[in-house]
Amino acid sequence: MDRMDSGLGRRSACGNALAALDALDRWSILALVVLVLAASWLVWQAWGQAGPEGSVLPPAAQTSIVGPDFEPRVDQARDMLAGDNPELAEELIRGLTADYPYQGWPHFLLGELAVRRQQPVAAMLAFRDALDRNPDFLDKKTPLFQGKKIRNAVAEAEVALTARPGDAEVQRLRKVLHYMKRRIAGSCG
Amino acid sequence: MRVQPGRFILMGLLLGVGAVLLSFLGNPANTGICVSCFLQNVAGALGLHDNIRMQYLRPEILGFVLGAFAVAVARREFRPQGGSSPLVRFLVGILLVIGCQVFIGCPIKLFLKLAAGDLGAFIGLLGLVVGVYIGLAFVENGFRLGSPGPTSSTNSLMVPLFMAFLLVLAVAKPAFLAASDKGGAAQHAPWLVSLGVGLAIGGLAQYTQFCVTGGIARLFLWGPREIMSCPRSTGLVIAIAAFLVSALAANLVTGQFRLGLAGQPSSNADHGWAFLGMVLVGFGSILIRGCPFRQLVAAGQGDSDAGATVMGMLVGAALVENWDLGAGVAGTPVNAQVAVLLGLAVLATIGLVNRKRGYGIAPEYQTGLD
Repeated sequence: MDRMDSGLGRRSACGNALAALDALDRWSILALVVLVLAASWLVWQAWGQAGPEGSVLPPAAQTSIVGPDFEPRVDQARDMLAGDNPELAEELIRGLTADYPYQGWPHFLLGELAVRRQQPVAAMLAFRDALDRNPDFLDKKTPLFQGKKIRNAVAEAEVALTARPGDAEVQRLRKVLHYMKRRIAGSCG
Repeated sequence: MRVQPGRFILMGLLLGVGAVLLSFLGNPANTGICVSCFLQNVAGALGLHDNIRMQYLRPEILGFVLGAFAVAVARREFRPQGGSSPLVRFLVGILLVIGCQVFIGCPIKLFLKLAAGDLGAFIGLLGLVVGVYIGLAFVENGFRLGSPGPTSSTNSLMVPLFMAFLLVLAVAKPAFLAASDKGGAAQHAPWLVSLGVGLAIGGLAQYTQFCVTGGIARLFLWGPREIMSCPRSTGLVIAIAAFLVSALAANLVTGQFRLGLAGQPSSNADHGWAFLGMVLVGFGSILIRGCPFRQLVAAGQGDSDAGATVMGMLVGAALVENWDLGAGVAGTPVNAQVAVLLGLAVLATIGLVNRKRGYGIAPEYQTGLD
């Protein structure tokens, strides 16, 4: 009987506590539940997309050991480009991107190649890859600064995209265009 | 009590023209003044994070606190007080910076972005207003963190002395102080100009008690019709309007105005997250009585609770870098999205737990409402 009384007492205390909640309390509790569920869902989604090592974070800046042949091969590709030999230059650059996937220069040279071939959108995409690997290409205070070439390629890509009808591919490319414009706007130089 | 618009107009002018001038002289685009970005730079300079592009002991931040301190002492308004839930304020300080960096900028930078033609900042402004409104719902329904009381001067001098120490470091440039030679932190106006503008703005902000979220909150509290009966509300609205107009004019004159939604510096296309980031800032600022800039100024005039918030903001600035809790031009990382949602949940919990139900605005929140 005592136990029943205490059970009823607990229930009534709980009922009193609930009755004491005002509208702001109820809205806050609802918001809390929604926020925590949304955050949990985001974490769950991110885990679902995690790589084999289980990391949901973007890869940290890669520190790769650049072989002694890297710079001579870059110079050679540059000479090929300057000597108006795009086919051989492309072969060299493709080899460089395969051997040194985390270096910016091969991607930058791909961009230059696309500029020579009058493919501004392809140039913009290659310059984006280069910048993601080495932001110094937009930093005026470093010897790697290449701002003018990147800015021109983006401007030409914008003109090219404006001339094309708005299909899904163009929508995707416009996102890259805006990304590049923000990168240029926020850069040093 | 009659409003004296002159000092508030001067506050807005100084903030608007000063910030755009700093941007023109070398600070990053649309970032003439940004409390959260600059605290990230300061945290980096002190070695609290290792992003080599975000390390610079920004003189503006030191100037805000030291300017406010000097004017408070000169006007005999340096009042050592504290003891109103400092650790909760420390935590809210961390959340404020996370919210700011998801939007990519504090409320002052929000207005600078607007004045530079960044249409995306309107979404941030909407978020800030919504956050202020939510915070006020708690404040008007009995939320309180405890009344601050008189405290020892030692306590209240901690933040001004810390900033003075940082000023010495900035002059002496010891080897352990990091300084970026590339990236956003490498972009800065001449050191003395930055310090001078910071001191002037900090001093005048002490005199006017300028606060962005405070100005918006007073509009909700008093309403536009009653605004003339509340001089401080009128003054803050005047100051914010003068800030916006003068920054717009300065941007036009110096050629820094670019109208558009896309391709703006310090922005991205994640407008939904920018909105929520600013909701977090508005909500948190109301709970602790002041925007991030106001916290620096209040810490300078002896409020050790605001000092706890400033320290929280510094820690938050380091966490944003170390844990990837801020947005960038590429977008908003998952960590930052989760941090914003959980930050809002934490603020809601703080609001729930610290309410005295059945009561209205606590006396400490009414201080200064005229």
